[in-house]
Amino acid sequence: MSPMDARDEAAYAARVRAWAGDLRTGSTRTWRDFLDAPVTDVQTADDGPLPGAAQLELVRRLAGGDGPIPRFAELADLVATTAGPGRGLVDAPLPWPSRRTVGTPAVEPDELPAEELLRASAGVLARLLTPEAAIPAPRRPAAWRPWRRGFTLLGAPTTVELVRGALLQRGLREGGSRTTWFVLGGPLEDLMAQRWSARVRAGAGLRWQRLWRTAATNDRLPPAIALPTIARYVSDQFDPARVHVVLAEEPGQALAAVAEVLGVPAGTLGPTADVLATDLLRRVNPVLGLAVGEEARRRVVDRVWPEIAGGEPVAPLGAPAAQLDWAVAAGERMADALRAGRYAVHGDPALVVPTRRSDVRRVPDPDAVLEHALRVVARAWQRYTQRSTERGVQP
Amino acid sequence: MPRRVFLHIGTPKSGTTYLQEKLARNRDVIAAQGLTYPVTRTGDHFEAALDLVDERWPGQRDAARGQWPALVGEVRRASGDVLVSHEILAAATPAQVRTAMAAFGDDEVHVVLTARDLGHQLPAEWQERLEHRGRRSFGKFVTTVSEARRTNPDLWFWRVQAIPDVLTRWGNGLPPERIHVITVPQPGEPQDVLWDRMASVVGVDPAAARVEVTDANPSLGIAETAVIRRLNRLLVGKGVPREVYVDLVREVIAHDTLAGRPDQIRAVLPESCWPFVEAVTAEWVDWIEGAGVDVVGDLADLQPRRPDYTDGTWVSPDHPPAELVADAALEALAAVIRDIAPTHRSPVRRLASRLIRG
Repeated sequence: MSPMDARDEAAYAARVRAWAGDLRTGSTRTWRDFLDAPVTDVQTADDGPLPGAAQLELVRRLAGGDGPIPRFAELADLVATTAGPGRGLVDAPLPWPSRRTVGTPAVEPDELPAEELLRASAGVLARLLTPEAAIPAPRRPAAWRPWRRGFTLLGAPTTVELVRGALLQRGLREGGSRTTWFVLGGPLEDLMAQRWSARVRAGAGLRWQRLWRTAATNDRLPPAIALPTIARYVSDQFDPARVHVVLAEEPGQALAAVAEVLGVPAGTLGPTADVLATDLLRRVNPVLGLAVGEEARRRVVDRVWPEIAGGEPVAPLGAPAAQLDWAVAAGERMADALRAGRYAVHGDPALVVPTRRSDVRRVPDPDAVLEHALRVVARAWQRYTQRSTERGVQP
Repeated sequence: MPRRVFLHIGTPKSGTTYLQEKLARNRDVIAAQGLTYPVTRTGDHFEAALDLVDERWPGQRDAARGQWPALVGEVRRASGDVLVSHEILAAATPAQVRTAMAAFGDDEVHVVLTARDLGHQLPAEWQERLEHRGRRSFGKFVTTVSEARRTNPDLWFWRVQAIPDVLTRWGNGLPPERIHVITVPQPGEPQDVLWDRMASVVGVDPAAARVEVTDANPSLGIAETAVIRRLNRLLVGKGVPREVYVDLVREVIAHDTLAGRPDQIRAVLPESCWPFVEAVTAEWVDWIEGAGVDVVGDLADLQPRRPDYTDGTWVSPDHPPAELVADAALEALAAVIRDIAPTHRSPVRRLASRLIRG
């Protein structure tokens, strides 16, 4: 393979632009297949820097997604001109018969690691969500019904949020001097997943593995999900008879148990943000925060993210293999402490102890997250084009 | 090509005084390389930063009025790249950041943040508070910090130290490649490494800045800190003017005397704080990596080094050995007497003033 000269560079650039033009039409041809095909006239945009392998491959994957995407060519242009944030392969070029002597080695786009495409997706999503930041959050005045029974929920953050919403909808009152305290929990790994999701929605870019590593290194669960500590504290401060620990496999069961104690009908709950959405959001967060500021990021995540990032439920994550022993020990300690508490426990404390199953994913699967990211980009693009159409401007 | 304006916004206690001294003392050679470090009436950019962030700062806020526009004027007059540096800029609100950015609308603005590990920053900020008449114990300080909100924070510590929050405020709308996080090397590395990193960001030859800076802002040990804290408590409500406090307590006692004492015991976090410190650090590192900002140095520098608590050498910063505190207090007293002796009134004049007062 001979080194690239100036003429080669020009031919390479023309071919890359031609492939980009082909992909704009919704083609799913790989770079390899495109190079093998005869050269045809394709309309291309000749100005601007050459898009990188990750951007072009992301366009190709989007074209091969679940359904047709409106105004796909415009989305392709947006993706091709959006740099992927974070550290990774810098502007990876595409393979070419003559070789480059400097820079990042060439890479077949369809062989790029999912992480690279996820970086590109995070940049695209931040760009698509940026206009959403201009929309103010709706104000929902809370109804004040002092005669209703009071409740206070602590523990598993997602469950707390869902159950709280359901109880408020039924007209119950939060807090108050005679409040009933509920400490909501479930399997330890689910508690950690909920803690992870809460931190990520609050703006963190935290990885699942790092959350566990920190907890295990310090031999301490995050205080927000240390159920026995929370339950003991409220029991000591208030009347233990008004403290209930509710252990449930999923939020709907927790709501049923809480509703039974409060003497109200339970009802059903909406879906929760899953592992894939959380792992995607932690990648989008820093980029979106830098683009629109923290307050606006939070508004967008509260208002738009649940709508565009909801997906098919996936199996929950287990503790990473390196921390599994610690997780089991921590779960057993938690179960023992809950059994010894002076408060009521609804559900079996053994539920919190992780199992050593082999059929569980212990870290998020980047390929699955990428597949989800493609769906989320498509949905975000639909919102983006709708908003642009409403405002009468080109996206 | 637009010229570049570098805004070095913090964080406090991350070698900023050293860098600012280095820049000030080598102003001419740096200017010859195309980077202006603007001169102000006080020499540094503190007043301008205080004017922008509009923070209550005893006796200084009013004096600082108009200094941010004055600094902006200096920046506009300069040709080539410019560096503005003060660590309290980190505290700016989003609205204040917009004001700052609007002043440099035609320029290519870069935000620079020097960042140090949280295990170091907590004791360092506590000591800094004490040198501003603070009275809180270390235990109470750490509890307050660990219980406070880190996003959209109210507490000063997080307003200037929460790296993602500071960068989100200052980096709003900037491309990530124009946001530079310079990590401060762990103890043991030469101090020049920090300067080299800063120089690489602002585009000057680090070797050209030959005028060295000796320890620009030395820290105190726990016995020495205890002296300052107790003094602060004794001086509450005694009407000691700010100028006197700064001259005698901060300069004569803290900087000139106690900071130079040998064999000081450094303030180290209690073991119980480490889960919190490591969890926060983990979030910050993931955020920095995900944001794609320019990291100059090594993110491993931000990982706090947990000391060995089993060897019995750790001493609570709130309970230093009494004899060390007594020694430090006596040295402080001697230093104050030495300092005021040359200007103290003569016995004859003292007698005369007593007679006049009756």
